[in-house]
Amino acid sequence: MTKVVDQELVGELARDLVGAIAPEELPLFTAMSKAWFADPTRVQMNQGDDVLAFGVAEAAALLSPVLLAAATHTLNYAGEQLGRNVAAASVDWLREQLRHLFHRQESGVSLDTRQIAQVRAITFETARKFRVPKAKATEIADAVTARFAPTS
Amino acid sequence: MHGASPPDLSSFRLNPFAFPSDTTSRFTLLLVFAIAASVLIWSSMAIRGPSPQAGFANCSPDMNAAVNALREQLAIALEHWQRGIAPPQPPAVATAECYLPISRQILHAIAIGAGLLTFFTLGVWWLHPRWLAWRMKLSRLQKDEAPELVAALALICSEAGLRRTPDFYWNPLGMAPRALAYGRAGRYRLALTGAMAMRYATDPPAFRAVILHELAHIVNRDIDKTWLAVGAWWALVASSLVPRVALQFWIPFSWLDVAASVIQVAAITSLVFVTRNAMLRARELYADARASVWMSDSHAMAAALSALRPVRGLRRLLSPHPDPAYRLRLLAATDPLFRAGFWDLVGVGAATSVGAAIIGIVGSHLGIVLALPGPGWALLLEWALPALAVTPLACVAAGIIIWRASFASLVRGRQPRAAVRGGIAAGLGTVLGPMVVWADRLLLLGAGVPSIPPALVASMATWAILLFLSPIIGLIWVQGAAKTWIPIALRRPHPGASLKAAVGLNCIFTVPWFGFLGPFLLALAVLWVLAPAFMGPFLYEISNFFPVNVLGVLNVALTWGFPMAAWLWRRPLTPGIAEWAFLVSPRPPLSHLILPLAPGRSVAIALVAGMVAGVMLGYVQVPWTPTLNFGVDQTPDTTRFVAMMVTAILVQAAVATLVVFVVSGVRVIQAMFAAFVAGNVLAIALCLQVWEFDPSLIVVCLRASYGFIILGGASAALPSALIAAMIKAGFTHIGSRLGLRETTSGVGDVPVNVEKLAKRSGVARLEPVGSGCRFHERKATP
Repeated sequence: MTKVVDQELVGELARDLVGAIAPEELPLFTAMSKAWFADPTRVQMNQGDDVLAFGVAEAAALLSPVLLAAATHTLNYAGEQLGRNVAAASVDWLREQLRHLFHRQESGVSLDTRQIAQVRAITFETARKFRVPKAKATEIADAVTARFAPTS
Repeated sequence: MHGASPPDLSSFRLNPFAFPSDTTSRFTLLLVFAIAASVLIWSSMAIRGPSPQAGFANCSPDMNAAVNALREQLAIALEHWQRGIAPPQPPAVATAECYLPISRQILHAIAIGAGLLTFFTLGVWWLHPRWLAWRMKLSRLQKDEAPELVAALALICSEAGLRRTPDFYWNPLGMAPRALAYGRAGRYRLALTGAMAMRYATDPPAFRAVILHELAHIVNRDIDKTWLAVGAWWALVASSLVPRVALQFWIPFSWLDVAASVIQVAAITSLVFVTRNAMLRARELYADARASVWMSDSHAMAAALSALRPVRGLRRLLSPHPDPAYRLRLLAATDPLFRAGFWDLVGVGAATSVGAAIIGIVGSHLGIVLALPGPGWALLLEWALPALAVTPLACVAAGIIIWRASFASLVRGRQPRAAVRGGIAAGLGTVLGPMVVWADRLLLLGAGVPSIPPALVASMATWAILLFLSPIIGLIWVQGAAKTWIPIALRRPHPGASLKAAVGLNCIFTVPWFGFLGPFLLALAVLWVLAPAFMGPFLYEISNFFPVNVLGVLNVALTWGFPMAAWLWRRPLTPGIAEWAFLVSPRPPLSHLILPLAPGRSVAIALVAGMVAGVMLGYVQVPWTPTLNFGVDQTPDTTRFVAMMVTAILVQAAVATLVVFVVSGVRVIQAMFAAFVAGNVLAIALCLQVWEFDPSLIVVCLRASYGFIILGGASAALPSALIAAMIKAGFTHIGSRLGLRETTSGVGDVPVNVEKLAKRSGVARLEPVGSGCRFHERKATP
């Protein structure tokens, strides 16, 4: 994570996204996000002991880790890009502006079209890395992009 | 043996937990095969290792030539025995001296292999919780992490009535829905992925079904067995397969040797792998059955099972998971769990012969290394010890399978039929098991490396036939005993001691059949035909030789008395509701089950026939008696004595035949018991006649005739009773086809007069209804 992006910020964006895309995961989101911040390598797509476990045929039935990863990557990207544009600003100020941005509130910073397209690409790729089906990955990418798009 | 209508298949689920499960028997098979594989691979490594011919250099320059010479000598000895003459002097080749260095080398190798196998197996079992925690990236589920999830899990545990709640572990970032119960020695854990945990909120019934299924593994006590089984497989790979493959690169290359090694290793390891997965499949089915009892909502369980990956085609035999479609069918009716699986019994047979052969091999090498004197030790280590060690296990495993199948058939109102098919399967396994394990020898034989004399081949073939027939006879008897004892157990609201004691005793009493009496009697019969000059005196000697005579008579008494003893526990006459027989309510009364014994009639026939024939023994003249060579001096008195003994044996066969035609129910067992009773009466009558001449001879007479009369009588009565039973079954079948029979119960394959049934079962009348009968209580007389 960059200096600008902290766990709180990622958690906030990811919770918003979970609320929008997979609201049924909200009851366990806090535990999942804690585990993610403690050790992101704990994410397992279809492992476990398949010889002995009671395993349902669905491969990846959980979206919280995907959304946490997507939030981390996109916020890192956005923080890096915006930090370059407003070099003189303090880290705290920039973090606050980012929060306003993805909450679709009035913000002192914004991403341009190319950067928004890049956010979309990053999100889509992240989701696909977790073997999320294309349609769902597109839905996630759209949801994340919408958070960073100008409020007009 | 049947009266009222039995409960139909679809309405009532049979309780598979009334008997030990397949999980346990398959686990035992797996251990036997794993040990056998280790012993075989390490002993073959010892032979193929450096300087295998070193030991033979002392006594023979060519190892193959020496081995072939030993085989030839054995064949010559067999031919001499067949002709009733003593074999020539032992050969010049000193077997023990030749084999000593190799035997020592093999024993060391076997000990190393067994040690490594045990170490790795226990290691996997001990360390698997840590390994799983690492592999699944698990952490302890804390109450403050997900209080609602913890509360839901605690509630499910209380529903399952667990005495000790397992520790919950999870990986909240596990994206595939998985749950797994694991742990060791009473400290069990339940692991969840985040995707599965989430279902407590999104799909509570499915979540409950999965967790109850995992808790069922704990209640069924299969977790330690599972991880020991997993450990045994990986231990075999690490401790035997890897060193065996490594050795192949070290020793001189030979295509024949490599091909033989590959065949042997592939055969024995496949046996271990297939057995392990069969055990893993069985445990899942029993866990489903247990969980379904706890679930009030059967649809949730069905939905959870429907979501599993299907297992198709050949994978059904190889997969550690059963096919979900099959699991769904078991939710409706557990009857398939009671079937005597053909391959299960093949496995039992194979484990018996392979296990016995392995113990025999170790025993023979031990005998050479310890230089134990005399053939007695060799007989003990190579034959008696393997039989004593392995046959009880085989008898228990096969016996329980037959009891379970008989239970299901009787409750459903069908005639139990598992024994013959099961016996054939076990017999095939007994014969084929060693062939699979020593498949490499077949290749070497094909290549003509060791020569086998024809006499030795003939004796091996005879032995194979005996091994094949022995389990068939044993399991038919087990089924007969089950048919008499299960109706007794089903008259009680709890199976309790009656069922456990009956199953236990039945399995114990089967040991003589499998291990000793069955093969022994069959071997004697075959040998008598092949070598009458030698076998006549031998048979007479052995059947009157202490303690064989006492043990043999005791064996006959227990074999036929045990099923008959069920009659002593026949009260109450009116069956109650055997709740333990079914998994869930409603439980039907099992009024169609009636005790298939009428000992009064069969014992009366035996006593009358025994006494009449006993009185007439003094007058019998058997013209061909002098031709029977029993090794006794042929004087008029001894010839008459032999004639009386032979008559006593023939009368027992006649009594058995008569009883089969007169009684109903379990006919052969009643006939054999009657023959035994008649045999005792005749033995006493014969010696009383001797007593008439000289009272001091009565003890000598009993010693010289009792064992022979009882054992000979049992040997003659059994085929007579079986043939008579087949003839009677044929008549009955033809009669029922022609409509000559009176109204029958119709639910079984043995039609029985319902009036007689009603009288015997203490009910007022049985009214024919459809394919069955309605059951009417007898009114109490004032």
